[in-house]
Amino acid sequence: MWSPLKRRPALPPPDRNRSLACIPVRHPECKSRNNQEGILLSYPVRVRPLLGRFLSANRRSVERHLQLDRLGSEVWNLIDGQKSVAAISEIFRERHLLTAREAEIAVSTFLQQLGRKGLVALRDPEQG
Amino acid sequence: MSRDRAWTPAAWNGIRCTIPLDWHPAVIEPLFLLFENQRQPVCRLRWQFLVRPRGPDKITAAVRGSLAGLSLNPLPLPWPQARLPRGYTASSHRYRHDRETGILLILLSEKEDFVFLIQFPEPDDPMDLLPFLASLERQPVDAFWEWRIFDFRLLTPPQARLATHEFLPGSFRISCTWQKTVLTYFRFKPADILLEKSLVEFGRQLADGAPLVHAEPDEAQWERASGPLLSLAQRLGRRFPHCRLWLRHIRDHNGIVALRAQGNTPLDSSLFSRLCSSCLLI
Repeated sequence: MWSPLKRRPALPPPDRNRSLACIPVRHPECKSRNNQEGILLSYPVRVRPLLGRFLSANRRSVERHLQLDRLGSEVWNLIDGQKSVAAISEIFRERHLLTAREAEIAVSTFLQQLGRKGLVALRDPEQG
Repeated sequence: MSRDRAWTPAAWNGIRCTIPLDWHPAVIEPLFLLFENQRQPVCRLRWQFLVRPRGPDKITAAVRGSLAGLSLNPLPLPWPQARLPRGYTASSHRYRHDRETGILLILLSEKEDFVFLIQFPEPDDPMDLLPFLASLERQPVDAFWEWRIFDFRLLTPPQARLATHEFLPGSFRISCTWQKTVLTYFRFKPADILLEKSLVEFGRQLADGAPLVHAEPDEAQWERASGPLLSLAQRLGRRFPHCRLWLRHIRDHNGIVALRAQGNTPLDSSLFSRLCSSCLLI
């Protein structure tokens, strides 16, 4: 992605095919519970170290919740530590008659959001 | 690539073009689109206004400096200048970056200080791309902008600015700011799964607490208009005093489109209606 206005850091361009081959893995401490809207995720978040010093050991992590809607819950259920991002997108595409690209963008954005919250990590099959 | 291929319009954040039906947006950023065909990049398109006037040489130098390991070699223009968008100076280069080679086209409008950077990785026949290049245009700043991405089509009022966009499973969201009003366009699909209860129940989650003012089987509207005192209370509670939501279930496409306008002042009704009627699934 080029810009004539500012110099960008010399990072290697992300290899999309490789990212799609990665396998999403759930946070081991994340609990999921079905409810009317979909799935409610509960996960621990560590309090920042600076604040943590003033708290007792059992209060250094707090539990956060994330409500997934029906389709988000479907994608969450497909994360089994075996299927790649591409495979999950493909299943999602088939179920909802979407175009491949639309499913891919939607699923990868969703996984990115879960990743930012620390709920999933991506395992690169090439690196084991 | 065959020349009798099918084409479809695409429009995003101020630009509009016609793309082959087998090109799909793979990366969507405010000023950048990557199109792919069968997971292979076929076109990278970047556009922007220049902060200060620059000639083609300076643009080329800036592009060269923007990416480590990029080499550019001038190339005679593979397309007739007369068929390219009017008002632009075109220059082309053969580029090499990493293991990728291809053609870089710079379209510079010195009059408007606007530039398109278009990168075609190894096109089979550059002439096949001519309809795309010929159709490429910047939408006038003072006009309603058309947006067409995937199957979602909408209009934004003149000089609205893209704030955020999100493409999630089942829900697309494009949010713009316009004269201190936040306009958020939604597209939900598939409706048969998302509409478990009713359209009204579904829309309530988006209505930001606004009361329902109109409901039909396939269309509903919510509106909150606060007086001066309530406005102040809403603002202190970090809520927009004025909120209007319109939602339509488009059964033929098994989708739902919605527009929400939130602001400190009410949005003109005729403008809101016009924007709502522009939201389509195509």
